[in-house]
Amino acid sequence: MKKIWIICVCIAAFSSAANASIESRAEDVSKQVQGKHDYHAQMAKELSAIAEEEKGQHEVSTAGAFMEEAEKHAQMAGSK
Amino acid sequence: MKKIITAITCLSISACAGHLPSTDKDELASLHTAIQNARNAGAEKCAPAELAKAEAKQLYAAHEIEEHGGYNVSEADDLIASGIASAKAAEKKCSKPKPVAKPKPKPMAKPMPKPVVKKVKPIEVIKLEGVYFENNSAALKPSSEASLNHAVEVLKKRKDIRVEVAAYTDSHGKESYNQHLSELRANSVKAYLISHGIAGNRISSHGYGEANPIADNNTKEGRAKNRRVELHVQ
Repeated sequence: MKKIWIICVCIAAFSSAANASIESRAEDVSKQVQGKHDYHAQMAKELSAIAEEEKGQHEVSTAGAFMEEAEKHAQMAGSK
Repeated sequence: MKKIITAITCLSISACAGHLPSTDKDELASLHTAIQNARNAGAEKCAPAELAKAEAKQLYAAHEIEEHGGYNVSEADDLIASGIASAKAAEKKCSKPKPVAKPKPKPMAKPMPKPVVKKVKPIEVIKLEGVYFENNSAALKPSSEASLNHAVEVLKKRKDIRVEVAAYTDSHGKESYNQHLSELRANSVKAYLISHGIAGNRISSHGYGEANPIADNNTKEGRAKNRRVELHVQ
């Protein structure tokens, strides 16, 4: 019984942390690509939007995967 | 031992991160081809927004197909159709227009009168050296203040002149984007001058994009010289 309780706490903690981080990560990506219009900046915006949509549907792990890709593109954005 | 197993279970749940789906699927073949055509047309440079839309939709469609364990017609089909439309728009945007054949000039019946050549007064140019902007942005860097304050002083001393803020870019990137960026940058400098006490009716702004380069655009130094702001006394 105790073991189940601990696992539930872990799941709840992980779930709430992941939810919060998608939002803040989307904000970071948005700041990073602000004013940039190249391919990587556009990819970052598109993927970040998908991540937020997935998060809205409670697909947290999928949202995380899309957000990770968005962050990679945001890093590469803006070469001028 | 039980505690260790519980801890490992918790860690496994936490580490259960998602992954991006593979886009190598039969259902995505037409979208894949459309994206490839757009890329071959140079869409990464000349239509980045459209190309990114198409590629993001390809990934999203792949996810929808995987998520539903097969082909989900309603959602994945919409994404694929929309992705193909974006890829085609990118390809179209990048395809160069065919040159229009020039009509042959008609033989002139009468000799043309000599054109009247107007003497054009040379424009006085006040160069603003040291005006820098953030990358791909019209936001002025703080290091530009000294040069801009000097321009403010000149304009306060010479109360009788009107000036045009002229902004230029180098030739790197898409021409239409550079044109737009130069207009925003000229406006940004105009706004700075107005905010420091220069009357708005004495200043106009114009973005010249890649036009009138003063140095070689093939070198880094040349491009840096071409990215400039000038005040044209009118």
